[in-house]
Amino acid sequence: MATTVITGRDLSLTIDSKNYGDQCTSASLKTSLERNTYETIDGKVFFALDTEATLEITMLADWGANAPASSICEAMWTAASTAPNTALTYTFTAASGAVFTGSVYPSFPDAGGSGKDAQEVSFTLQGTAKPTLTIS
Amino acid sequence: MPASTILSAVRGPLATALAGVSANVFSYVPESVPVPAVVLVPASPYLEFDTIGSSTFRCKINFTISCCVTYSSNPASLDNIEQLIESVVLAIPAGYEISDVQRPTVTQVGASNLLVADIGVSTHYTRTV
Repeated sequence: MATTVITGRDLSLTIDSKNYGDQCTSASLKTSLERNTYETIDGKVFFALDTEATLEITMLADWGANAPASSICEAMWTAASTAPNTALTYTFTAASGAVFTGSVYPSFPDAGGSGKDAQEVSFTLQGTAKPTLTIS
Repeated sequence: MPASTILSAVRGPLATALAGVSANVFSYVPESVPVPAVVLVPASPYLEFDTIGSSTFRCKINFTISCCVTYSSNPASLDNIEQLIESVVLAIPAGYEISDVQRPTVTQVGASNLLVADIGVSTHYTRTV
């Protein structure tokens, strides 16, 4: 079997219908299982209780870009400020044919940076539930 | 045919922004260099692909802005190139990262000696169709 390689160039991400590809330098969807461990007389038993998902994003800051509706940072700030409990839908393509969908709660982006480099923004968005993976 | 090119979206506008400095400005490497001169030269790596996705051509572009003055007397030439560097840095528009200025070196171009210092700048480009 040939080795399969997919890279960050295979990723695509939209949140609340905004395409993050122009600004995003790194994106990771992390899904974890919370497990309880029980010590029985026969040994350890594991039981899955819950699933948690987070979307970790690092992107080039775009504060002030064009109109407010065009700035991802400003859109995310507005969502976190005015409707923090309203989830935003996302579509995260890992590679062609493997698409994760779900919803995340908005978070406040950072602001600032060093004099030498482009300003970058990092934020972690809490998922509402386990992402849905669609394989085609 | 794309609506934008690196020349039209980055090199040309950067050269235009630098047009106010007291030097001949080139968005490419000219065959001969009439000093004082400011020349945009591709740096290495020239293009870096640091954003996700591949549906659109997006990249970080690294340039060297070479500032060139006549090399005659060392104190006067150094003063001239320092003043040229200051005016170039002030003229670089928003959206460009300025990394550093390499130390001035004497470079022979044709029959004349030039004092040359390189300013590292970077920006991001997205091709629009």
